Amino acid sequence: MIKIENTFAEAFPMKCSRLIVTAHNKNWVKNAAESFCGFATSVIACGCEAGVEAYLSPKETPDGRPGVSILIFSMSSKELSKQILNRTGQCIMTSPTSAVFSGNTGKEKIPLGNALRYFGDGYQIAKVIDDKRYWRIPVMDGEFLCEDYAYQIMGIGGGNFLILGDTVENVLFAAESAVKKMKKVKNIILPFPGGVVRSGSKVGSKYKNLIASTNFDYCPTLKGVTKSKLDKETGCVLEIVIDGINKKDIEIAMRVGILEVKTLSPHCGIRCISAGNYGGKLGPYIFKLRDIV
Amino acid sequence: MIKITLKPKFKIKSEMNLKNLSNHKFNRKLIYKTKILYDNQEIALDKIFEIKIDKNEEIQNELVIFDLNKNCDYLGWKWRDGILRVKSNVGSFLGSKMIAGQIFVDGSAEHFVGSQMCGGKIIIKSNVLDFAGSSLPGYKKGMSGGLIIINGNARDYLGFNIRRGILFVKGNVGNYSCNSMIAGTVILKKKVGKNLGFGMKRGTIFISKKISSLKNFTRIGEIKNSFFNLLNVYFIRSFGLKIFQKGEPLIKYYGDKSLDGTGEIIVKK
Repeated sequence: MIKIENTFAEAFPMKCSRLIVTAHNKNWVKNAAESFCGFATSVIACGCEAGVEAYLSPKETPDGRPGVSILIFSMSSKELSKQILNRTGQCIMTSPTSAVFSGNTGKEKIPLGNALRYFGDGYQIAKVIDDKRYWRIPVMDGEFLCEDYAYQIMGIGGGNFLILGDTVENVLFAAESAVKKMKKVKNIILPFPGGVVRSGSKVGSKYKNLIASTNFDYCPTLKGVTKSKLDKETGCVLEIVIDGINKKDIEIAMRVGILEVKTLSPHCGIRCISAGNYGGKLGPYIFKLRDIV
Repeated sequence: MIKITLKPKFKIKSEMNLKNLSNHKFNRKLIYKTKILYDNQEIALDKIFEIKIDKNEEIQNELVIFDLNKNCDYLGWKWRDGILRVKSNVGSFLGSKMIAGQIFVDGSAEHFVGSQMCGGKIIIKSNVLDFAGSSLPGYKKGMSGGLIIINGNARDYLGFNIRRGILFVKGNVGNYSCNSMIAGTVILKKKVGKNLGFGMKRGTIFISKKISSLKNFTRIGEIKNSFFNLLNVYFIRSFGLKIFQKGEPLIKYYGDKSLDGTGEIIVKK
């Protein structure tokens, strides 16, 4: 029986935006999305957290081509705006056949085509369709189409749960199974590589300049050295971090992921499910594992 | 939300100026106080129309007018809110200087449909005459926003001086379409008359077949462009109107060269 610890995950408010990227085919959609979401795992050092929310069929995109919905999160409006603009300019505009649209509306605007248009050096064209302005920027494969603004909405970052097991192989298998199911949930992303993080952090460090450092309570190699939360038989811990637009969808994703791990055989090597919390230091959103499941 | 229905008490035989009909703001009291010009005389609205005010289940306010004809001008002048439905033909200056909202006409309209409009939508079931989406007499800037869809034919000077917005004509158009076009988008699905895009500075014109009078335009070649897909998908999803088939090759022309214009005419290959 896989135990669910009586603990909670702790999350914090973030600024968020959704972008829809389309391209000539799925391959170039994927290339653009992967490039945009590269080096966007954690706000600790990347400036933002970004990931693919869902791949979209031509019927779901504004220009009838294959597309992808990307969610990007950051701690401040200014940083979010900067990250979106830089990443769109360097990763999407550069990707052949791509176009980018805002995937949500909101009161706070983030310049997108409005700033990138200057790349057209005077040959850019503005077009208004259904009260939305688009910029057509001439590039070497034709035109880069870009909506005038993206829009900021409120999001939540840092929903999480930990999978504790005996070996790396077993915990990795459980984490992969959970991620596969969780990726089907809308309005969330799993920003870490493959949706899984091994270097869970705690707030602060013994070194003054570091804002985060390794969560040694859960490091198996420090059992006996520090006050570990791991028992003798636990040899690996992996974390799944969830950012989402609202609390409800993060809860759904956590529930789907935890239940997927729980459906694994009792002999799968998974010992328990826990969560990262910092005793209320981190943020106002609380996700109690037992309540969620 | 309310729905106001107007039915004429008699056949309209003289010129009627309906400019003031845009000022009621869907207010029950104001509608009865509205005066309109009929045969050059100011007359209270309820002397000419039977007025019925009901609750409307739609999200927007609605004004429905029956049995107008080509004598009824300036309907929807500076229209800014709600839906205006015309269940007949209507006269000139329909939706001129319109700001927002929607106008639906079940019949035809005369001249200057949506001239100098800057927002909103006008959808005409049948034909229109000259100067649709153009500038008003004495002005230099035409339609500067919004959308006009004409399901029938349009006559001459369509989109004259058009500056922004979208014009869609499902039927044939007459001569001098998009003359002195400043910018905007015009989609012409069938036959096009003489001198299309003459004096065009910027903007986009779609035509279905190549026409002979494109001397002032340079052929750029075949293009595949996300913007045209976006426009096509928008018209299909919103109005069930297809501009071109998915993946259909399009040829771009660039001009008007005589004015160093950078407008584009897109022709189906």
